[in-house]
Amino acid sequence: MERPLSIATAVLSGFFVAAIMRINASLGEAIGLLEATFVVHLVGSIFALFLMARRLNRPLLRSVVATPLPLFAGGAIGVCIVWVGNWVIPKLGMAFSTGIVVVTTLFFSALADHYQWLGMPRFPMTRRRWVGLACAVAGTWLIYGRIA
Amino acid sequence: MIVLVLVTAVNGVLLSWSRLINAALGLRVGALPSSLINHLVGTVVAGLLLLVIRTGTVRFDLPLYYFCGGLLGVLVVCGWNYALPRIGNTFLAILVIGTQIGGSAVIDHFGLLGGAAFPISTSSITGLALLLIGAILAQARPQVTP
Repeated sequence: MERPLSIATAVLSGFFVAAIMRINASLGEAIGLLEATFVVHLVGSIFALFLMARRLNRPLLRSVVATPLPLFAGGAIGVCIVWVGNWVIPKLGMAFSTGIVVVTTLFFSALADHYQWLGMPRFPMTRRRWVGLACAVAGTWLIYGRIA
Repeated sequence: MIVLVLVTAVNGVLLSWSRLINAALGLRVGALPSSLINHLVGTVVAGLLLLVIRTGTVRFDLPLYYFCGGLLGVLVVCGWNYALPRIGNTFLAILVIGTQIGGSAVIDHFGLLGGAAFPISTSSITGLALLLIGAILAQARPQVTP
């Protein structure tokens, strides 16, 4: 039972990821790009706080205090990601923007695996992976053809 | 156009970095607390920037779902946290990318959720399929060489 439920959760979350990008961009068009970025993070903070209100205990706070400072940078990078997304999505459309981002993240993880960034185990490039990257680029190019 | 594409690509690199940082933070404090921390830090950073720059005017006469992006983002983190140990990283990533690609095409075609419509043609459906196939092929990690 847990496996089908996990698959359903994953499928639904993929739709949510797409919906979130478009909703945030629409909010950006309505109230301003940076204002929307602020609202998105504020609402997320309040909701996350609500979900874990009962788990805010000492051990958790201790582990947060012991966390190295650079690991808190994700939130700052997130501001940039939402801000830029709100700007480009109304111009490029969801499908093309998603294509570009998917291609970039695929190249990033291929490079990270091949050159062993961040001390992760090394996975050298394979022909299969090259073919995958080429397919993704060609696919995004075809989606772009619709806009051009 | 080329500027927009380059900026979006840089955003993709930033997204990859933030995923790595979030994974490291999540290992230390848990997925939901790490999402809370990221949203709090983001709120402070965006709030400080707003003191210096304004890009529009906040108003509330909008559909309620316009304000739900942050809430859905937290729900997605909870969902991945649940599914990841049960179906594994690769399968989860493929399911998410697949429905994300399909979902974005549907949103584009019908102009859903407050956006303008970008009609989907036959060639762009081919493009979406190629993108998904490419993502699946590039996802699969080869065996570790000794």
